[in-house]
Amino acid sequence: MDTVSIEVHTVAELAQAPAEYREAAGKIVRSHAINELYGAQVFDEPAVAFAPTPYWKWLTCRVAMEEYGHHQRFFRLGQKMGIPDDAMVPGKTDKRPLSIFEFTMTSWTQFCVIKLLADMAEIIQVEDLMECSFRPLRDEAAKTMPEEKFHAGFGLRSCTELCRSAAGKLEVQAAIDALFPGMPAFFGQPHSKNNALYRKWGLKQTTNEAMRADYIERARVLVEDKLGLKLPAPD
Amino acid sequence: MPFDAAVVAAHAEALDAQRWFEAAALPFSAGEERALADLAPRIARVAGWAEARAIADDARGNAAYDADAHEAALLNARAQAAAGRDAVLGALSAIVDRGAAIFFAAAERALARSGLRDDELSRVAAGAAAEAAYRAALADAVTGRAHGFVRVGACFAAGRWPLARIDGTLYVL
Repeated sequence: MDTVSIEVHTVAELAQAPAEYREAAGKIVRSHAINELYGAQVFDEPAVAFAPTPYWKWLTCRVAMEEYGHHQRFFRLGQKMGIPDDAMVPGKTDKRPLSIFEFTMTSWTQFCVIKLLADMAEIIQVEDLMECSFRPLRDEAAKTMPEEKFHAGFGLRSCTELCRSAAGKLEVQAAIDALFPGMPAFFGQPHSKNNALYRKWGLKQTTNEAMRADYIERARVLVEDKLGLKLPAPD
Repeated sequence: MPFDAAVVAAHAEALDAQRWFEAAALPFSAGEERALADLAPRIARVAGWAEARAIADDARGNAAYDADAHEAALLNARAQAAAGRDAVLGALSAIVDRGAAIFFAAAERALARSGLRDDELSRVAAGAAAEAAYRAALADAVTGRAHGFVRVGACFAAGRWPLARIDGTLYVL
């Protein structure tokens, strides 16, 4: 599919963009609004109860607030674009959150591994959006990036801490074995029509396959080189 | 007592005007000592951020934390029974939305006054303040100002950080 050179600087300018562009930009904004909120609801908020001390409970509480804040950023952008509120809220829209959120988290260790591996996947997606042809989306992505990096760093620091004991190391490995195989699905199907459309319009720069490969390599570095554990094969 | 959304709105409106973390590590005034005496049988002043981190990370604080979390869940259930889930969450979201930047910036400034920069500890402090402000607004809206959560919220708003209750002692930065 040929690419089209276009840059949309404001939401007002979006009204003049081709219908296909507007629809594609709307899909990305909806997806981020839904998944940021759903992730906070199913992982971050429940993790407060699993955290080992008040220190980690408050840190997790803050992380949940930041994830919710990311939802708010994309939600408000979506409102300006004319997307109905209910289309951006999980449970009120038919659009389902990403499959990784079906993972049932049952422990603090699993939450730390989620921060390590799932937030790194989010960083790869946001990095791609930072070159997006729709400037308001690019700007929101840039604003969320420092917090996303902190969340992933929190995952690495907490997993490193847990791995100091033999029992902790086993728990972290078990959590990685349970979570990681489903993680590359975060990047969508290969040869995706949506992704081709996003790249045609410069909304995204990278194929799902390339992001997935990048993710697996970065995950390998974290899990094998930094934690000294084994990265299982993806599904 | 029904859930009073206007009370929550007033708490949210007042967030900007509070002294979040401004008194951290300073000696207690006589007025503060009187106010703190209502919160626990014994009060211990924490004189620095490193000590604050260690106390917040002490698992002996979990029992009091969990009891407060249980009380917050009960208040939430009462509020939602009275006003409906969406109305309660919508009202309380104002605390989170308005407070997100305020708490974090205040914690960063307080650490900086001590010559420190620590992104993680700033977030821990901001998370604690957010939780206290949320619970204070909720308790005030459901039961009124006499609730302990309102007094803890006032302690944060006056610039302190109540860190943990351990064996009857409340540790306060």
